[in-house]
Parts: sequence; C-alpha cells; structure tokens
Amino acid sequence: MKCEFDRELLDAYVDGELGSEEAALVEKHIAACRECGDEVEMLRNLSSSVRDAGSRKAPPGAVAAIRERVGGGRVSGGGVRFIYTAFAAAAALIVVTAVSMRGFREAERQEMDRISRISTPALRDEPAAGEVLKAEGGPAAPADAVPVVTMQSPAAPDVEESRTYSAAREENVPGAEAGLGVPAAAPAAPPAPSPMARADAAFEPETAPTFDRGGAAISGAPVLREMPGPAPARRAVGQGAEGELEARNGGALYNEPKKTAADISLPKSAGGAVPAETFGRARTERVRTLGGFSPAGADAAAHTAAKPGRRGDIASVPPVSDYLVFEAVSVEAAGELVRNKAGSLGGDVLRVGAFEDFAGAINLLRKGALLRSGAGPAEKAMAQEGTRTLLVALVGVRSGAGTAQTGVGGGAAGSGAEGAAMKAAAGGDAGEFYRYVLIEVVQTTSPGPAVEAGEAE
Amino acid sequence: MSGKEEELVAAARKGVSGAFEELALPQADRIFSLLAGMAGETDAEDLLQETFLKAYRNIGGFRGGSTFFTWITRIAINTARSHARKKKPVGLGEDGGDGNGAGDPFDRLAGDGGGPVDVLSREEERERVRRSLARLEDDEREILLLREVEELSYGEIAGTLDITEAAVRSRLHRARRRLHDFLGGRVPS
Repeated sequence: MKCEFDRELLDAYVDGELGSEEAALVEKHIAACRECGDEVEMLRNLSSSVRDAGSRKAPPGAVAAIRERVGGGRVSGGGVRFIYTAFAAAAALIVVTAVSMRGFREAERQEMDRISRISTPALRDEPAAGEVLKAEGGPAAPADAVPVVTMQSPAAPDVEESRTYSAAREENVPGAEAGLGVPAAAPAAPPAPSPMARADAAFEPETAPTFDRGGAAISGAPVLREMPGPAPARRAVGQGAEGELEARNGGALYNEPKKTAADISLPKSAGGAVPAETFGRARTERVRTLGGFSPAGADAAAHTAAKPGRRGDIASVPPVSDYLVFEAVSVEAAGELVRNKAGSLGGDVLRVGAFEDFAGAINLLRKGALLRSGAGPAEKAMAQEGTRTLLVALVGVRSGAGTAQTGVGGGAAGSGAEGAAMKAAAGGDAGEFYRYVLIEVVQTTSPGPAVEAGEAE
Repeated sequence: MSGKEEELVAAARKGVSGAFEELALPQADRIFSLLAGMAGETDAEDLLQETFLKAYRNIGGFRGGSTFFTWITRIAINTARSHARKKKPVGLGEDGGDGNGAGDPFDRLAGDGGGPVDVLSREEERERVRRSLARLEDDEREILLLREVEELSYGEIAGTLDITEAAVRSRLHRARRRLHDFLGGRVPS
C-alpha cells in the first residue's frame, strides 16, 4: 500500500527548507516508513547527481573576456569616474606612444626580423568552404611559426578531408595503420598547398622531431598521415626561438590585445557544414589534425584543473600533442570511432567524457589555433552553425606503440606539474605514455546520407 | 547581503575600478552552469558574457533588494530565455538519444582494456543524467538547476522566478519525479 505522506514535504526536508517542527515530523515518519525512507534516500542521490552533472566551470577565455571588456572600459555605464579614467588613460597613452614610437618601431623591426627567420609561410592560400580551423597567416600573425599540421594526401591536399568510417563494430578503420579510412573524395579544385603545407605533408613520423619543453615530452608528430613528396626537415616547435615564440603566444591566448571578446568566444565545436556523402553503411566523418601545438604545461594544468571535489570531475588533462576532430552520427558511433582510433594509434583510452570535462584543454588548443590563424567573426559565425560534441576522449599512446616511434619516451613526461597531470590522467605511472591525443567527436551535421550501423545494407 | 557585498555594490554603482569584477566574477562558474544547463554548452559562453555585460551596464539600477547573485541569476535566466525564443534550446547534454543510457559506448570502452573503469562509469552516469535533464520541460530543468547547481533557497528561487515558495516546492517536486522517471528509476548513488 502506497504511503500517503505529503511527498512535497520530503523534498523540502531534503532541501533543508523545513522548520524544526516539520523536520522532526518527517524524521519520525521516515524512521517508521521504509517507503518514505527510501524516497528520501533517492532524493538525496538525485540532488547529488544533478549537481554533479550540471556543475561546470566557466571557460577561462570567457571570464578573461568579461574582465577585459568590463575592466577595459569598452562597456558604457561606468559613470563619470570611468570617463575621466578612460580619458586620462588615453591621454597618457598618446604621450607615451609619441615618446616611445621611435624606439618601438626599431624593436618591432628587430622582432619581425627574428620572427621571419623562424616563421613559416601560410599553410595554404585559401580556406576551404566550411572550414573553421584554418591556418593562414602573414606578418600580422607571427604565431604561424607554430605550424598547424594537417592531413595531407595526394588526392586531397586540404586541411580537412571527408573520409569513410567503416560501420564494422569491432574492426579498425580501413587503412588503420594510418588511423584513417580511405579518402572519400578529393575536394573540388583544392588549393595548391603552400610551402608549409608541403613541408607538413612530407613530414614523416620516423623523422619527426620531438622536443622537450620544461621537462615535458611534446611531440610534433602528426598522428595520422598519408604523405607524398620529399621529406624536408620539420622545425621542432618548442625548441630555441620557436619555443620561446610559442610560449609567448600561448601565454597570451586570452590577452590578445587586438582581439575582441567576440573574436575569441568560440562555440565548442570546431565543425562546420560537411558535404553529404553516402557510402552505404559507411558514416561520414571529417578529420582535422592539429599537430605541433600543445598548451604549455602550466596552462594546461591551470585550465583543466580539478573542479571542486563535490563535482567529482576528471582531475586534469595532461598536455596534449594532438587534437583530432571526427564526426559521427550518434554517441554510440562516436564510441566505436574512439575505440578504433585509439587502437590504430596503439593507444589506450584513458578518459572519456563530455565536452566540459575537457573544455579547458580543448578551448586552449582550439583558441590557440584560431588566434594564431587570425580567425575572426566569420569563422565564429561559421562555427556557431556547427555541431555538438558527442564525446571527448583522451588517448595515451605508449612508447613503442603506433606509427610514431620517435620520442623521448615517458621519462621526460613524468616530471613537474605536467608529469603530475599525466599521472593523474593515466591513473598510474605516466612514464609509459609517449604522448597524449585528445579526440573530439562531434555530431554529423550532414543531413541524410550518414546512416546508423546496421540500418542499411 | 553581506557588508562586504554591500560595499562592493556601492562601489560598482559608482564605477570604482575593479569593484564590479570583484563582485561578479566569482559567480562566473555558477552562472555558466546555469546557462549551459538552459541553453546548451555551445551557446553558454556567449550568454555568459552577455549576462555579465548586462549586469555591468545595469548595476546602477540594482537597489540591493536581493543578493547580487540572485540579481545576476535573474539576468542570466532572462538572457537564456530570450535566447531560447530565438533558437530552439539544445539542453543539457542532449544528444537525441533515448535517454536511458542503454547501449552507450562508455560501457564497452570501460570494459575494454582495463582502463579506469570507475571514471568511465561515472562519466556514463553523468551523461545519462544530462540526457534525462534535457528531456524535462524548460521550467522544470530551470528550477532544478537553480536549486541543485546554483544552490538557491526556496525563497531565493521564488524571488528569482517571481513565483511563490509554494509553487517552488510543487514545481521542484514535479521536476524531480519526472527526472526520476526519465532515469528509469536508476538514480546514481
């Protein structure tokens, strides 16, 4: 027989909203009524679950943007004092600028000279339609010194490619040694790859440099690659002047003075519209690889630090050497895809979670890449039409596994804050992992043709 | 409102440099959680900035009738609602799934290779809760977030949503039972 005790009172009791008399009444009742006692226990668990699932950490970039816009005085409404402050600051700036312009120009010239010696040309001349993550640059974007490694193949020398993903549940993707399926089709009239793109395309894993920055192993090796052409030497990001440059730019991701909040406020998905393709039971996916870019360890630790204990979130995400974006039609397909990719990389899936669990690391990677490429409102608008993250996985690639064997091994990854983060993420000895790959799977935006496994024959 | 908060509010209203940031930015995580729950993570970042900028512009109109957090929460809710009117809300972790979590890849991933099973299991459960939350009516999800994530009291929720405390209690009760049903009676412990 169902107890007819006022259930709303149980809610209020769990919420601590009852006075002492009512609370005592409830306590007396649940001591005698198992049904209501169970209900109270369920309500407590439910509260805890909702809190855990719903609590998130504001992206550091968004907070920094608010701080900049509010503190920077771009928003009206601060009152007279604000106007005076702004006016005084502007006047001071004019004076200082006039005085220092001569010296500044000289310093700038020297800096540009230095950058030009270590910088790389633009990845390519024109972005593909629908592309969000692009890598182009020029004098105004010295961060191009950090190359964005892209998927390259003779048929489709573009940053992104549509490929097929086998629906076979327990098998690796065709061509799995490269971690990818067979190229689906070459994009129409692909732009000629720039010298940098050619250099990237020719970057062989076995010749890939690895580098050590602050005791952490960071690999510039692309995860997945099909490469034509010769193999010129690739610069090692993180070494020497380039390393300094990257560190400098990386540290200024959210303080880029020429960027507005709108410029750096990007949605979670890097995906844009994807051409529809039909391959029977195949799924459409798109692959982008951003290699050679890794957040500095301190940044990664700071931006992916554990959330408050009650939320019980993933402790941290270690510095990531590669960030891959795939598309899938469902969470289930995404899970299969992640497993296959991890297998083809010779890696272990260390963590699987929702976007927000990795938001710090992803935002850092993504925004870094976008800021470096000078992405602006157009890219943002494009991306906003985009997709939703199905899941994110952190894959640890063991030393000696997969195709990229060069490396400093896990030993260099095991020191300092980064080492601690890796250990936390790996749940054990991080020394065995050669590098870490972050895989994000977003929902396919293409209408129609992508089908669920087993749905069509 | 505490004495320090009152001082900060007064300073922010006068435009004292840094006062608004000190007052408002500590609330960013909670406001972001609310916005992400209401509008989806994709849009929450923009909405967060919009909310705080609205608060900054209108701080002069804040008379201290409630706490600052309640006040800015109300702005966030209005911002999210306005956004929802323009665009179909995505919801919390909504993925178009069936909501019961069956067949999630996490099960297989967790079972495969001796990985951190506990973590994956927790992730699976969290995702299952998010999907179920996404299936609630907007007002149900909203009040649950205000209570569980924002940790507002019934009185604060009533003030924020402009409803009575009795209505808060009733709506919360309904929302929790529906969520419980969507979870198939399996509430993570």
